[in-house]
Amino acid sequence: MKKIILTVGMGVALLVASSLQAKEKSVTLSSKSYKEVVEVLENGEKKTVLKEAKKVIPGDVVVYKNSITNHTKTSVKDMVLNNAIPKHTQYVADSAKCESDCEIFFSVDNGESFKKPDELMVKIGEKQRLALPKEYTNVRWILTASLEAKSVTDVSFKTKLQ
Amino acid sequence: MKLLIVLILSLGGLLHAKGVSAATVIQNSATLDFTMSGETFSIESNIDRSIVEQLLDVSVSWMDTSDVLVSRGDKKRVLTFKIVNNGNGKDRYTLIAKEEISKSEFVTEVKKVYVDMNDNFQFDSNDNERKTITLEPDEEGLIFLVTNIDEDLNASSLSKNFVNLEAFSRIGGSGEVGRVHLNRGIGGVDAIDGLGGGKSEDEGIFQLLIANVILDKNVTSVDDIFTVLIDVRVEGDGLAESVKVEDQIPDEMIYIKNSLELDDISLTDTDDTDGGRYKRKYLQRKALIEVELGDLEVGSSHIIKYNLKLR
Repeated sequence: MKKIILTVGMGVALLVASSLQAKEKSVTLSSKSYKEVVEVLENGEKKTVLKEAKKVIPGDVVVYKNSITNHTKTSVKDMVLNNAIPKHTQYVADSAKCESDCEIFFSVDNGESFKKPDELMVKIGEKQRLALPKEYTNVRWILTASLEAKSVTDVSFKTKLQ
Repeated sequence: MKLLIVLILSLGGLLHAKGVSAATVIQNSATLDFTMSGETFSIESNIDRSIVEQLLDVSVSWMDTSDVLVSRGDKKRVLTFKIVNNGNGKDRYTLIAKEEISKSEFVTEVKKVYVDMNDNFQFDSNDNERKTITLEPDEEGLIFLVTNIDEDLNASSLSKNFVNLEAFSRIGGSGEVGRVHLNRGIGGVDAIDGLGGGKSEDEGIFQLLIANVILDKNVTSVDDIFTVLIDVRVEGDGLAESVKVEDQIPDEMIYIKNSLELDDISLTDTDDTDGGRYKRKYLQRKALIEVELGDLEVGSSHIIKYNLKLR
């Protein structure tokens, strides 16, 4: 009898897990990197476009774009997206953007704490000063708007490869 | 609008040298927390990866603070150059010395390229003649361009010889900015010629100084003693090196012992350290006086004096 109850219990747990997994999969997050490339048009005009950054060289400015896709029929809210600045790169000032309404915060302590640029301080010995963009370690977007069903929104930031 | 060419491939990168090592993988990922139907979820993105290509960037610079002064017959005179690997990967460079014949007022003998093997910033016997140098990123090496100056060089004083040292990457070094060399970089990544096209050169200068030693000889006599005065002067430019004055005694005359003087100071007749001596060459039946004056600067003058009498 005990054995039957245990088996049933495990089945319920599996069902709940699989239901959660299905919901998680219904919202996806993808990260892609791009390089800004200048194309020369026939009329001599120059146009900056983004090309995939599979190969980079020191000094390149790389654009990181995170896309949130809501595949469900329900809106998604209270979205907080965290992205550490990739190793060997430096954040480019004022480059963090979002498509919809959001607030953007930064960290200089590897994500322990986040503040807006005009409040973000670093300690130099006994003194404090405003953190430089190149000292940022993490970016956080708090999306204030909901992401409607079957829709996509992007956030992005730029870094310079050291 | 039709596109002509995708031309300017991240020039910012080519301007930038050094930095993160070639073949490094740059990774990025993000996390998202959200609420849906009252439940909270946390998901992670894929890991985006980019690979760092090898930027080929080298600089050559002439290090001597001024023209290197040389004289006729000089051996192993040296122009010093610095070569720096400004790229982001280990690279090997071919070194080529070229004479700028169109600009030069004189030419020198065959030049040899040496690498400062013991890092003492001086050309010495520990340094090896090389045609290439291998440098790690940010590493620099000293190159000595060594030449001999022809003893019979036909050129005026202060004329110049321009010599160029070129270094180019053995991986690329096409001279064409942004030229991609597929899979030729460290770890098989692509290599790209940087702003100098993966090569660099600089020019060093030898300047010729010719110092002329002028000798004026006068003989005066009082009774039967003849006094020989030799006035030694240096004119022109630079340094007259290892000057030695020899004066042969005429066959009909005899040197008066212990009469040799330099600038009114007596010199011994023997072959000792004062630089002056009286020498007899029995086989040739000749006699002479010899005075070693050493290195003499332009403008310097000395008087050698000795006495003779008739046989």
